[in-house]
Amino acid sequence: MQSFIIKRLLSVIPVVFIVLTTVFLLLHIGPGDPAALIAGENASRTQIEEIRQRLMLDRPLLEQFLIYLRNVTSLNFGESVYSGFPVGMLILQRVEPTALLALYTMTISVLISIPMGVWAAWRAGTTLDRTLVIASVIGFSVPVFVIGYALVDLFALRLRWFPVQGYKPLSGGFLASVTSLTLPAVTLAFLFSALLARITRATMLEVLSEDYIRTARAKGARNGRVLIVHALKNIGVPVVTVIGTSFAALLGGVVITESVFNIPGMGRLTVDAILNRDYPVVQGVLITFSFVLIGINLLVDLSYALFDPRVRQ
Amino acid sequence: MYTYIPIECTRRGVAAAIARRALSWGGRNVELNTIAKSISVAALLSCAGLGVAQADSVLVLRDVGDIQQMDPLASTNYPMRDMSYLLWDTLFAMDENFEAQPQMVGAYSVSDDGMTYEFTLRDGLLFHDGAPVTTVDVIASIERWMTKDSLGLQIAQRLVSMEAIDDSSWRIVLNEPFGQLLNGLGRMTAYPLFIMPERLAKTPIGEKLPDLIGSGPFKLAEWRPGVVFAVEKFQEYVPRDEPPSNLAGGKVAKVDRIERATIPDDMSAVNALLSGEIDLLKGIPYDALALLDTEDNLEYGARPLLGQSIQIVLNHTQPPFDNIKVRQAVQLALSQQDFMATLLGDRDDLYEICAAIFMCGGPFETDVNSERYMNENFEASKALLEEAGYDGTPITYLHPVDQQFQRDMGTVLIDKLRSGGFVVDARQIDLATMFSRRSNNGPVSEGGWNMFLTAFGGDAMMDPLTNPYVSGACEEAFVGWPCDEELQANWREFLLADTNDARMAAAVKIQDRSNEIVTFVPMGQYFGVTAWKTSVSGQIDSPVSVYWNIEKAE
Repeated sequence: MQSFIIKRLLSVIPVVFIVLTTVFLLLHIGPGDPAALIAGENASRTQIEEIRQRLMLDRPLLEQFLIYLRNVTSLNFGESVYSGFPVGMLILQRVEPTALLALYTMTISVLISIPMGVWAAWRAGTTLDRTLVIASVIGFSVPVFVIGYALVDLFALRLRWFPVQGYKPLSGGFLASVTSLTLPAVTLAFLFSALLARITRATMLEVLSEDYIRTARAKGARNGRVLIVHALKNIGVPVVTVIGTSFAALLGGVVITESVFNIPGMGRLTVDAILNRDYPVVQGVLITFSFVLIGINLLVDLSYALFDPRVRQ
Repeated sequence: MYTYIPIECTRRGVAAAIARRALSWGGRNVELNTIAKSISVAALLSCAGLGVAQADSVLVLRDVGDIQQMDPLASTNYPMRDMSYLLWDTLFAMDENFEAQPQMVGAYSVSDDGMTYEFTLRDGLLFHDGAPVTTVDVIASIERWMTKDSLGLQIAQRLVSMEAIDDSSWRIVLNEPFGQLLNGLGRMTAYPLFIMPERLAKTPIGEKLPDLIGSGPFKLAEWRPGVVFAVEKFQEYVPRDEPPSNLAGGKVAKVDRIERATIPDDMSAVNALLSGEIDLLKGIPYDALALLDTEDNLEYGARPLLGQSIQIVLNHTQPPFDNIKVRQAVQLALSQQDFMATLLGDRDDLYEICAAIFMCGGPFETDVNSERYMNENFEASKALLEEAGYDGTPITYLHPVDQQFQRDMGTVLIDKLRSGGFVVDARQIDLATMFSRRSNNGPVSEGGWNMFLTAFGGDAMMDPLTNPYVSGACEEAFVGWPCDEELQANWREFLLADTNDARMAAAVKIQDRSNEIVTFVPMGQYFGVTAWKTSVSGQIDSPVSVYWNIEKAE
């Protein structure tokens, strides 16, 4: 098990280097000039050139890359070329709403989708099963902004149970914070519940047709025991994989939902930084994302060992 | 810290309403009732916890755009400029007739030869850190401004000396009479002359200001880019006695705190206003106005001073627009009515078909030489293209599609140009790419361009000295680089004119020449709509978003 963890950790190193290089090249080779954006509407070319020199954008690409690598390896992501705030601080400001929204969404999604998926598989072919399949197709297909606006109209504008927009930090009280995230979390849960329910149902159907389930039944095991003891544990690997990747996607930012509900999360930070060509922020955010993704993948891999003894061996 | 206040908690007794609602939701079901009771208690506790925040009057507003940087000389960004007016005061300020009036200046005199000016600051002016505003700060602020602003540069060219007489008085000596000096010191936009402490004013433009200590009626409370920019009333600020008029007169802070919330999605902003989470909304989408008509506690109106105008910009340095007749054919192919109708539908009360390149309603309005772009004529456009020998070279049009305004206007533009005989190569890009690409005056094959569309506020367009298109200054001109000696001479005549009549005469010549060589094509003037709660009053009509003098009834 220990060597498995060490191997997985070592494999992260080349991935990180590839990510760093790709992020740098994508930004610097792509179109767009932060100096022109910073200079504003009626700036002269001389003014733009001055800004370019100040940001060291006039240096050779290799030199810029080496400076960038040196800074990143010392965990110095630099400062936003606009506000001058440290990139680390800007990212930290956005982590709380993003992480809370992701947790809230996944909690709702898991609580709804796994029991539904298991139940639908257990009752495969019945009206309940078909209803679940149709509901999950709808949940997966309807754009999140449609669901978001519909929820806002009903629960915020008509019933006034929740705020229309904005995020209240945890420092202002847990309940208020959770209240401000309820509509966005429910919006996203439509999508992720649908996905998880379908995966759970499909996996459970597969497991229920396995020989060891038939053996358990032949030995006289009750339905509940067959389902919980023999079947449920064996759907763990694919379901946890989907939960992990979904969670990573949520942490990476859900731009449309963040925009509809005005949640100042990582997604909006990323999009704003890309549109403004704020290179240090984009680099910082993408590197953070890549580490989060690598970390989650590692946890998912490690969790396989819990569900499958063959991995532990 | 920024504190979000749910609307339920800002209204007396509404927390109790939530509780009642939650209890009714539970009905007779025991389990649901238990949950409902929890919600009701939580709602009451939640609101009780915010009681402190309610003690102060807080104006929460949403305006278009975000504040990504905060140095008023580093960018022409309008949101930053608007907030800068709260943080920093100005020596002079434009009144509703666009005439410079003393603001921080208490008294001033001009010598008979018009070359020596003496100014004295008003009594009691303080920076937000409690330090008095002195001439050292004023001179440092003027010197910084003169390196960036176009009118400041003109003043610098004529400056013999600028020296302190004492802590509150200073003298400016010029080498020739220059009637634009006071207008410069009271510059409304791009770039206003804000008075900062000397240590801030010594910061090179482009470097981050070490802090944001200001001289204005509000001081910085909180700034989180992409989230909120909040200011608090500066208690020691001494406003002028005169009533407010545009940016001039008394800047009286009538609320304790102003929070400018960044809400990127227009409909979310409208919903926030409808639910009462914000008090004032600028840049409301026109198709959402109908939603406000049924709300008794909301009002809305168009910003009456000048508004904004749309412009088509042509690159004079590259074919085919290096040919004046091809440029004039563009004028013939376009119609302001189509652009305005696309933008605003049937709300013709919110736009104006305007012949003036210095804005209708502005002090230099004229319709001279506007016939070509006021009368769409595709046949005449085609005939002129033939006369010009246009060989069908594609027009490389930079078409940003990440903004609805640009996407819609561009679609109309492309269709009109094709109808007028042009071959158009529309490059669908994002706005940031357009900004960077348009500074390239090389051939299209080397990343250049032929045409783009943009919009400027009336505050910039209304005056030949701030209108970016009319200098005719070749390499030094705004992108498009029109190069014309006659236009340069007209512009200089305006610069040196010492009476309003002389300025008007020069402005007419500038418009005549500018339209002749087609420095740009004006595509209509429109007025942004602001909506607000009926409890909010005291808004000042201005091309700038002004937030002093605004009151909020409890």
